[in-house]
Amino acid sequence: MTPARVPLLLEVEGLATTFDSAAGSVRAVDGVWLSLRHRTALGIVGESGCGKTVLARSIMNLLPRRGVHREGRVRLDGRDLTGLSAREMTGVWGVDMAMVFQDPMTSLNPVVRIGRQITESLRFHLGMSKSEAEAEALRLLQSVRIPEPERRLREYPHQLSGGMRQRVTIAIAIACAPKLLFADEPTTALDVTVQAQILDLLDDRRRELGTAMVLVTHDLGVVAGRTDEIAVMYAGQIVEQAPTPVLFAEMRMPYTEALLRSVPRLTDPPHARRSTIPGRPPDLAHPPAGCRFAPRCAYAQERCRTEAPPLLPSGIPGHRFACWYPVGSTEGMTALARNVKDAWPPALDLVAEDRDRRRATAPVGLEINFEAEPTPKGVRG
Amino acid sequence: MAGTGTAHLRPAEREHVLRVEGLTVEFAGPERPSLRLGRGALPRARWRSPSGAGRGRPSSREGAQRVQAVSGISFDVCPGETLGLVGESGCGKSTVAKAVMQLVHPVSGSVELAGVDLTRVRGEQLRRLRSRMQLIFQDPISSLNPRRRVGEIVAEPLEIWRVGTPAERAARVDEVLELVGLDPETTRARRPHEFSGGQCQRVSIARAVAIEPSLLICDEPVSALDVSVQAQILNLLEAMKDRYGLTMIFIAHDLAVVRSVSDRVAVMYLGKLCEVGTPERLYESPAHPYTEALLRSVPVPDPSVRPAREPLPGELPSPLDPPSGCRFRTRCPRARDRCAAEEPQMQEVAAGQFVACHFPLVGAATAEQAA
Amino acid sequence: MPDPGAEPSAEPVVPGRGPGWAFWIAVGWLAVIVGLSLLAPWIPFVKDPSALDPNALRDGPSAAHWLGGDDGGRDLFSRIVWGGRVSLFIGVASVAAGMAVGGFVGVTAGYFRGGYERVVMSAMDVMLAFPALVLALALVTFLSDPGEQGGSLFTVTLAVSILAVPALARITRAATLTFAQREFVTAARAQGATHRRVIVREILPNVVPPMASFSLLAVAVVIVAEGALSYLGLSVQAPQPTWGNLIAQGRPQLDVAPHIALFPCAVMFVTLLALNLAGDTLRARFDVRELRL
Repeated sequence: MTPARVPLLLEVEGLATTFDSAAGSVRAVDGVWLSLRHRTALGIVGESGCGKTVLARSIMNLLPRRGVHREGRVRLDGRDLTGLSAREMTGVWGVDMAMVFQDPMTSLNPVVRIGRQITESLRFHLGMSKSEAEAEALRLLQSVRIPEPERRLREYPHQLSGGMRQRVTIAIAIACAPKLLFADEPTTALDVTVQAQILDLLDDRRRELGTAMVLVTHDLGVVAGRTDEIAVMYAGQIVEQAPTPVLFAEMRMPYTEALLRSVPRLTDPPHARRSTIPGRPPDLAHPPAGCRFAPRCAYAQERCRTEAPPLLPSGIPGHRFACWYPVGSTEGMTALARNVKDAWPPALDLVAEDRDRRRATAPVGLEINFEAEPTPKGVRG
Repeated sequence: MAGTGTAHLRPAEREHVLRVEGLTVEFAGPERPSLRLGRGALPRARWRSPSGAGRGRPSSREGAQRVQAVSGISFDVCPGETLGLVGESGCGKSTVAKAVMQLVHPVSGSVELAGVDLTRVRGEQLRRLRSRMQLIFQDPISSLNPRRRVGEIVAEPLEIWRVGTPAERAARVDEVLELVGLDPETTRARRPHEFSGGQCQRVSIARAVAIEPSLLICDEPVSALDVSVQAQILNLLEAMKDRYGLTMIFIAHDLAVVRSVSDRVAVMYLGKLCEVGTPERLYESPAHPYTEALLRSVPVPDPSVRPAREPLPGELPSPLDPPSGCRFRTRCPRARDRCAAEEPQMQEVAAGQFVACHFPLVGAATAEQAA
Repeated sequence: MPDPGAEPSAEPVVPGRGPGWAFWIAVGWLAVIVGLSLLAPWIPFVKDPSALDPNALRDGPSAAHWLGGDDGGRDLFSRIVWGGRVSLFIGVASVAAGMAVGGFVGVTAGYFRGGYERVVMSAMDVMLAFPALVLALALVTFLSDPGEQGGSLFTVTLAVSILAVPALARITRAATLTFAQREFVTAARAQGATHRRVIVREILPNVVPPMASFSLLAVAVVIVAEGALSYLGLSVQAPQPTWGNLIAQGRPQLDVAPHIALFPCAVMFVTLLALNLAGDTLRARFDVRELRL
């Protein structure tokens, strides 16, 4: 799947995470295989409750130990992290792997000055003296483009705006120049304007430090221009993965298509029905048999409801997906047509929304044309 | 960008649901800024008490600064229309919503709901008029009382106004729950924490439409939701609008979200309006540099489109001490001396497009700047 | 698409932790103590607390006198049960009264804010600033009839209630504040609800459960306060027993008959422990629910 002889930074093999809950055991991450090369950016995309946050935290081993069972193997730069104790992980956290969280207010300590929150890890991990660490903190704040950094060092988190706080958490995360940076919905709590600033910042600092990044988000729009590769997650599993341009050009999994269609666009016609994904992700304590997306899928057939599709390569390098009736294939087209005839609600929704859009005649980027003659784009082997 | 202008208002004779003129809201600023905790300091404006006492109370403390949350905003909403109100956090758009509802008291200006100036009524009459407007909030969890059941929450407005008999109210609750896509049988007796964010937002919508308000104000109703759920909620709001002929104000920070629901879009910056226009005009050819920056910051789900670099540099200036002249000038690539000296007024640059800018990107003034 | 059901949680689910055996032991003990106190006059094995039995003078526990007799030969077990009647009454009644006043003040201050809050809460702070015991002494002395020795049940209860008000008001206000700023309160106002309705329907259901569990802790504090007053001879006077004056009475004979002071001490200690345990467990449960909302 990955070209040989390229040294891999991160290898995740068969990672599965189960929580004990009152409703039974919840398999939030269910057998994920991933690998990431140095200096690349991977986007993990999916709805809330699809296990993407749990996946990121499982890889970092940040989950509580009580009531959580982790299986599988995680290797960072060749080093097996699987059996490490919390004490041993402290040497990895911050130095080799760091995380930027969604809510900068809760990930910063409200009663500790910004300066000390940055210098703490510098002094702990890199053994800097107080004055060295302070000088470094100042430099870090400058590097995340915080105006008046000297003053900010002495301030508390609540005195900063949301965007500034997120810049501070980024400064803390990159303080020890980690090899791998996780960004878990880093801009979801922020304005679009600030979102653009923060994503640019993450990208710049990451390139400069040669850090690889995993960007977790629910919005395909956010990862489109800023990642090398995208993994789409649904119900604890990866359902499609490809280099970013390939994913957008050749998406096969109906879930990926549905996610893309639900992104709001500046070109949306007025008062047109918006594409949605009907229903909600399944309860992971009792996932449905077969393909987990089948109950919401416009293409779903009998086979999907009984037999889970494996994640297999598509033929395009680096592209793999799990679907029996992929988007854009002959099978997919026939399946959709059959579902429309059988009045399967998700299929009707898809067709109705598509018709709405056409009627409005607004130019829509990336229209998926399934009413035309089916043109198989690549049949899986 | 003044917003003090009213060129964009439709003639007063035309039928309005809401007409707001020169709305100004100020809060007492922090006395000792370092001791106040973040958000709490600003939105904690006093409730307007039923007696109307304390309205527009000037700060008595020497040296206490005034937060100019909303500074002389005017807009109107016609029946059946949706106004999209867009701006960054801290630009005062939520305060506009609360001031329209009279939940915070404006310092000056008028808010006319179907011809009645709400700033001049109080007590029982205000309570009655206020219920003709309903609010939907950003945080779906926080806007529902965690200890009450969904059935009770939706029935609350009906109970307050004693609409019909108890049996009729119960039937109405079931009807609206059904309408927002929730099964009344299974949801009625549950509490909010048993639902997802999107479902809680559906409950909020059910509660808001239960008494058929004439104006529905949605304050960032989808900002806290996943994109896939956002689309569901937007579709639902559109469906409710069709069914009840609702008039709406839709507040968001993302221009892409309001595009498909709005008939008119108003862009706000630091307590003032920058640009008002139909979505077609405003999205095709934005006239205000701020609108353009907002448009460029919307992420495009297409890897071949390079994301714009720093579409809008810098931070929102403090509303305690807003810039002179045009408030956007400190971040505006087109700012000239005139922008600091003189506040731009609303002017029509194209049919149905109004902008408050000395050097708009569209229209006659562009040539002037080039010269 | 009506599809309610368990939310597929992305967060680790806290393993369902029932209130452990300690909680149930505490509740059992409290039930026994409260039951005995309530039914004391009718229970056959609870004797008249002032009946003198010369044979039991400072005697240790025996079949006739389960916990022995005191220096007057009175049955210590019965005296502890009757003393519990008084101590528990003072505890519960003064917390209830304090909660009624303090709760009202706290909820209104937290909801209306502004000048009202400033004035009312400053008054509470002034009361809190007095050393509690000195204030209690002053109140009992001031509220009692001239010439009366110590206080009557009523004056002691009243004095302790007044002492409890500021602390309860502060805590209620804090609880109210966290909810008064939530959007469901704004939503209720937007629907046209009156202030009274908002307080009763929206605020109270959220504030009452945590306050109720907190008041168990408050009862424990008040029982200690009554004990302290007794010790100083300012509470309900002997021969009417309270836990406090039983201990006070047993003190001079600690070297000859330690059980006279130790048994009431032990009962009081276990009761306080049980109240604290039960209160803490309930509070934690409400907090957990709060976090998961």
